[in-house]
Amino acid sequence: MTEQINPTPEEEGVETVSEQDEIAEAPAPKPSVSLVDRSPSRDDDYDEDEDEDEDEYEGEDEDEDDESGTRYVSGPSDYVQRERGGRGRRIGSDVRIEEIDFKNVPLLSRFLDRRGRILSRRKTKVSAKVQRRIVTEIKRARHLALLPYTADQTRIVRKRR
Amino acid sequence: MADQAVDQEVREYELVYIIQPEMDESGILSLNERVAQVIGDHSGEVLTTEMWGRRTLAYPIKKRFEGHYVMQRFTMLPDGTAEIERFLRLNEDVIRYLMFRRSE
Repeated sequence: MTEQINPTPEEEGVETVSEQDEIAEAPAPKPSVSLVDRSPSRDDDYDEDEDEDEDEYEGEDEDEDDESGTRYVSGPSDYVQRERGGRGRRIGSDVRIEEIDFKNVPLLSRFLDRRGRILSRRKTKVSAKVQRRIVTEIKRARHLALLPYTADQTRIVRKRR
Repeated sequence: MADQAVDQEVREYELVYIIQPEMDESGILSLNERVAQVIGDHSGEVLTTEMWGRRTLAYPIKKRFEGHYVMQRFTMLPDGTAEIERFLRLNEDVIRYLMFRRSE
């Protein structure tokens, strides 16, 4: 894209910047719309699986900026906003450290994703102390078959009963 | 017994074990009794015993889908843990157990 634009504004060097900005803004809504469309349709459960991918996606965006102008500029910023203001904060905000116990299965299961994996601290937004406690208590609960190690195990149990 | 406690302090433990589902009430109680006996042998004392009853396991253990859960909190000298673990490990009615120190 840059190569196509450059030949024309070479005569007026000052306007090169503004024109590129306009071009950059114009195609930007396309990717941002697709991002916004995707986010509400997903379940909370789905997010956990795709979160890592989204991070990689963010990285790729920066690379593409150099090649094809600022096409994806609004992509990452949308993502950051969603992350700050959205889910995640409420997962563990009201948890007191004394009530984190392997017997408190309903509480612990809030820190598991759909596949039964423990949510990362990036996701749970709790302090390191609380997260450590949660992790050990989840592992104790798993050992005693109060929680599954994987979601498959739950399916097996349901089928057999 | 009190002499032992001089160099080794009594600690608080929490123990949960899962008994195979075919076990009847009296069998569970006699098993509890034997655990309590080991605790007593090591100058310990059972604080609470909770029977959670027959629960569905989150995943099968030894091809069983259910089990009787028993939870006990007790104090004991640390050298008693080996004996309790050995007892629970070798008892075939106990399909899973967890013992750890409560320090709160």
